[in-house]
Amino acid sequence: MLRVMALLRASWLTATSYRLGLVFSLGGLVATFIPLYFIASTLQPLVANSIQDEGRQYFGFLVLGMGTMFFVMTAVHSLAQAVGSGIGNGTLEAMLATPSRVPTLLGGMIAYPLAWTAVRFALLVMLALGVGMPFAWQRLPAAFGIITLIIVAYVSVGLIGAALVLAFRTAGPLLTGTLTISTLLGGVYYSTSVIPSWIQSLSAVVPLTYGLRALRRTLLSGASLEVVGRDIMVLALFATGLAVMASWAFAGALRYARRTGTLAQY
Amino acid sequence: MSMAPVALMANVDTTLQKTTDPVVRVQGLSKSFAVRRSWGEMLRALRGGSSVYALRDVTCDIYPGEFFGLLGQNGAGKTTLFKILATLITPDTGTAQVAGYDVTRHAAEVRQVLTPVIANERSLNWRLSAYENLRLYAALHGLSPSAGESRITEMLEVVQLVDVGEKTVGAFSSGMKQRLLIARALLARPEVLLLDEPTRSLDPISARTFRRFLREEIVQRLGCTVMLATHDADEVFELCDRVGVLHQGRLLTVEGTEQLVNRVSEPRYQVWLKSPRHPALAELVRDQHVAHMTVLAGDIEGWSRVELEIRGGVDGAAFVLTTLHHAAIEVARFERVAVSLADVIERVVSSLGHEEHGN
Repeated sequence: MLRVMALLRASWLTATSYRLGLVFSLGGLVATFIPLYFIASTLQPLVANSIQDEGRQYFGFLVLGMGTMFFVMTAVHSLAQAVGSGIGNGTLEAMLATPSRVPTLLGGMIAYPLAWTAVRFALLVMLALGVGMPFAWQRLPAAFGIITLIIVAYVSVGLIGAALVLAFRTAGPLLTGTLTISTLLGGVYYSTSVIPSWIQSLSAVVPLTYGLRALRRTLLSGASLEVVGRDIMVLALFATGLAVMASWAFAGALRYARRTGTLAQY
Repeated sequence: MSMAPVALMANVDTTLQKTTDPVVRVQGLSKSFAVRRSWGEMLRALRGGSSVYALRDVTCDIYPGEFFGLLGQNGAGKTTLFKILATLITPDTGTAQVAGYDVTRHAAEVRQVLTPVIANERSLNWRLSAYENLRLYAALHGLSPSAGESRITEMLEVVQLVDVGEKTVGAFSSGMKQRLLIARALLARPEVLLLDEPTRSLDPISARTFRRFLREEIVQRLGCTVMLATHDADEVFELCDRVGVLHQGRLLTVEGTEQLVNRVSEPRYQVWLKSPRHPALAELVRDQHVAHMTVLAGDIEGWSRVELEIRGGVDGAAFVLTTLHHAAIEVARFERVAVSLADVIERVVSSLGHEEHGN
């Protein structure tokens, strides 16, 4: 844990040394929030029926959808980026030469991006609460668990991407494709129930579909675990399966890179 | 040209081998890498392709407290050997052990006792201070925060950066960054330190200071076993107790530095003197103390640069110098002609050829 905290601290200090970037990251969030509120209010009558099971309020629906997408984007891209730049500047090799275990290093690499995303998510939710988003505080622990499962599922995709970068220097279309499909079919901006039937079946293989539905029902409608239990179960299966695949892929990529001598090619 | 392992082992200097066990033991280590193919070649044959040897049947032992030099041209296999020892590359065949741990089977244990100095300055975080860079790696080496702090201060003192420890690394010179990379590697107090061309980005004065620092602080004060890879023959001759010459993946020889210098150096001396036509010089040639004399540059403000091929080793050189002095020939400089890496390799290969024929 000390090692993960040390990596998080180093990333935080590095990020705060780019002050303008930090200001833009938070400022951009506030700038996005204002039009989001007005557009959601305008579209509320049009979409009310389709989101009846997921909180009914389109603004809250959008806030949780976008906030969760922050996590998904971070989870998918961070590791591949960290591994790619680590190969380029030699930090990956330097860290792998220490006695730290690979999962610890990977955890440390993604700790800061996820922590910062959590801050942005919390800020977004607080702003939304300020303008009347419904929120079931008593379901917060369950919501935390759901977000954790979403993160595990998508970090696993990111880890597969990192494995591809480690072995072949590119993640190909995996990461962009995952984000595009998750955004379009995972119910970020609209309920998956409005997707035309033949495409809707594709949304069944997107972990975000189950995660977002469970999260919105839990936080916006105050649904109990029994109500969202099936969605959480499917999400957990996705997270477990993807995590196993990702561990296998990364271990294989690391073996390949050690065999071919490509851990660092700066 | 194939090099018989027997011939190679014959060149391992036995006088320097200690009674203690070697801290690094490399036996029959080989590694090859696939040659990158063009699109056309790949389309013609999807599978297959050729490979090139980076290391071939390398065998050597390094003893505790040694300053061991690995001399070779670019692409000789020095970095590959170091990366195998640092568990960053897996060997094809052969074994490598560090402090008794096998680098493939006990990689985690090896990383506890051996640290490579990753020579890439970019592997430091330039936005952070030297202290913060070291704090991160102290944690990655498993040091507790309190132990880490005292070790960081100690190592910054060793590399003489304690006064600038709070400055961001981006403001450091190349020499300072190199020293910080060494401090980073020393945090875990490794038994073995690997240095891969540590002076390549330093100017000559910084490089000289850095070499002195390596010898006095790292080896003598901290008692580290150091393996230094370089293509600079002078660097190895100045610093190392023993030297291995690596050429095209083969370890041509491992022997004491003095022994190698005497074996491969030519008995050529450059002398700046006045009156190169003095009879005493002619007499030295006639009496066979000097095998050959060439005037390289004549009469530069009264001085001539002369190259003498002197017989009788260092004693012969001393005799010639004394003779010049007694003959009242003014001498401004008297120095052995430095031997280049190419010369070292050429002569080692040549001497091995003679031994093989002799055998």
